[in-house]
Amino acid sequence: MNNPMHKRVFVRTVILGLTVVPWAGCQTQQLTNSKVLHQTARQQSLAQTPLAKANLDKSNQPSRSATASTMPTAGHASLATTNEIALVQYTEPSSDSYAVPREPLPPVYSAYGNGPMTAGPMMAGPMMPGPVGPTMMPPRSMAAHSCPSCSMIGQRYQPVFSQFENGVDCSPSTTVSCGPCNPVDAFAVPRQSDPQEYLFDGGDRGPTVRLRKDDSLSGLDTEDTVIQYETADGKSDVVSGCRVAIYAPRFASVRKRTSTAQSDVAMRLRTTDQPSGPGQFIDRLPSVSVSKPEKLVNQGNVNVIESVRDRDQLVPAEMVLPMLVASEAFKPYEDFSLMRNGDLKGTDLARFAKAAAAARTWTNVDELQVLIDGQETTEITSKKQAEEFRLYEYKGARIRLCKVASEQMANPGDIISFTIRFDNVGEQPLSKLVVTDSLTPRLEYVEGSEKSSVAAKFSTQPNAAGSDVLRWELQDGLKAGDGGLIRFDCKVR
Amino acid sequence: MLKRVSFPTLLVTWIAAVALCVVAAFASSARAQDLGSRLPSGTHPLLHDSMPPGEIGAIQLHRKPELRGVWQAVEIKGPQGLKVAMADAGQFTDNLAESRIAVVVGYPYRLRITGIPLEEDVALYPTLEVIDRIHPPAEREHRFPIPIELDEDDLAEAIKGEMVMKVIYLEDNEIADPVDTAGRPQRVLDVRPGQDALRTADRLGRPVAILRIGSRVPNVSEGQDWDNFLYGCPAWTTIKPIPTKQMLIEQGKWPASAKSGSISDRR
Repeated sequence: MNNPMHKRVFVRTVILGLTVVPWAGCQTQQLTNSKVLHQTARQQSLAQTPLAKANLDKSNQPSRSATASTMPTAGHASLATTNEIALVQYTEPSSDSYAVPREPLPPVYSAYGNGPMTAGPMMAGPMMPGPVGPTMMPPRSMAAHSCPSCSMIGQRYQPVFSQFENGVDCSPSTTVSCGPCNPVDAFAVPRQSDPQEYLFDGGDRGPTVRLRKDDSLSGLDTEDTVIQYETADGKSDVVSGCRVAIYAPRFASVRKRTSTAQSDVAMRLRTTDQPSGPGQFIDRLPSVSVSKPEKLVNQGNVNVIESVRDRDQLVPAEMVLPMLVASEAFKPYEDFSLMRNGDLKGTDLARFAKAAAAARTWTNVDELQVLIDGQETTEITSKKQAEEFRLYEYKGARIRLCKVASEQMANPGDIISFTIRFDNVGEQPLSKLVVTDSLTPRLEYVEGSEKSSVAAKFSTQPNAAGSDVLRWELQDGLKAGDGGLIRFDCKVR
Repeated sequence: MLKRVSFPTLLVTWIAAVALCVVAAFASSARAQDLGSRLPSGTHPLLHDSMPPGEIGAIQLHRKPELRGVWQAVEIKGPQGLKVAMADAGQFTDNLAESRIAVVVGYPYRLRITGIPLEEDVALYPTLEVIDRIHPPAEREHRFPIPIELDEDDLAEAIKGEMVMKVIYLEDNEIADPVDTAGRPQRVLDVRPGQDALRTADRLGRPVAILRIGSRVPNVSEGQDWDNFLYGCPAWTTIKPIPTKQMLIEQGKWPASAKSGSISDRR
């Protein structure tokens, strides 16, 4: 430290440390405080909303019926004035009302001659067995309780698996209580779900869809359904619609074959003493796998043109109708006022919710996120679940897009009809409207199934996920208050 | 301008910059580790496919209390003529009339398979273990069973003496293959013997069932514990078949006023 240069380095390092460390601590503390304050203010704001009050009442009185609430009201003036959004939202009932139906199980017969005993009501799944006689019922039903190592015989637990006897001793001779065998503890969990079991379509997933200068879209992922438009003053924008969820799990398997004579060691030729040169063509034969003949697995079917369907007769010119969806031909799942004429009625909310039912998720990604002019709106609900019905009505030049599906659940091969309703809910006419729907990889567009109530140029192109991007370019603009309907079918892969 | 900055100032600035870069690198790596693979390097999976039947299910029941006592519908499929019998009351029952049954999650089940094509006198005794559940809408569980498919290759390999293990997993719909699977056999991914089938299935989706097909047969005469062979005969039950239109007509439940085809025959 006698060197003056070392002394100066030390002094400056100490000064830097004394400056940076308190500053960083203050920043972290401020960030934490701001987060807490923001969350507190958010929760207080949420608690004041009519929807939150309705949810609170709903949680106090659990019910299976779908409920809805509309906003804003006088008590919600701050939200309406700051964001200028009139939000109409449907939320699923609380998780309590989605518990597994608790139906009593049929009597379970004991192998020890104790007679039939009734399984606990918690055990009953929704699948009721068929005509099961005593010969079909298991003699030692360990399903009557939750412990994996023992079985309830009469009023006591008996070990079922001998390999577990050493691990858990539930015999009546011991005084140790069998904790995991308490059926109340085992079933005191709400019914859960898994987004992987659902097909989603609609909304705006992942990066927000944005409009480039050349009117092309960026950030259009699978499942996204958006509509782009141009206002009278030449401003272009894009909005997304609601998200539809369809229960359609698909399974595959991973197979492994092992045998006692099989080895995982890769065998290869280390060296060879055979001279290779011209004339030894036998060493240059292709490998066996290449020349192995492949048997014909499947033969494509030749589709014969059904001439009967093409036998259309000429009709007089005055009877020629444009390609429109007949207004009186609404399908049952879409026959409510929002789809018919764009008017959302409170009595239709339950039907809309059924048509656009969604999965319950546990990620925050699916929560309501709306940005208006760079300002985040207030979150309406704190439930960790997907919002299946997102309907925003903006003042000014705005458009509304909503989507429903004909099925709530589907198996591979099923056909699902989707209906998209778009309305100009603003105050000025819109032009250059384009509706874009990027399908998920498990949905396949059925060729020729699309119909539009307004004149539109329809086109498809493959997306990155292996499915299609459906695109409708509306030929004419939409006046204020006008709307339209698009319908198409998809096959579940 | 540069001459005014002394060397100690430059050195301290350089050290501070390097320290900030190191901190940033650590922060990014920690974040990437959180958002990265499910199994970071240097860790060992709790479950692996070499565990005996029942152990994975038992661990699952301890890890997930919500799985305890849950009935899960499964559908056992196979080549034409295949007959399946379940262990019940210490013996195998008659062959199942319906391929859809409900089993309890987490317990191993012993099956007896006969009627194998070209091997009519051979019986196989595979094990089935449902290690997780799916969440179909209420009262529609029978419509979405977990498909347990045995193809001819599986049966042929098992008859030859090999052990075939199939891990059935629920596909992640976001990364699912865009192929049409309607009416086709279940898609199978073959892994090498050194690979972990359970871990591979976990990467592709969520494993829900494990089927093990071997050539092991009961041998009670040599002292084999029959009860252990049947795993204590866990509870299972049949599911009511989905009524078709003809069944509803026979039961008098088909609405006479409804037009033909207005109600789906399948549901």
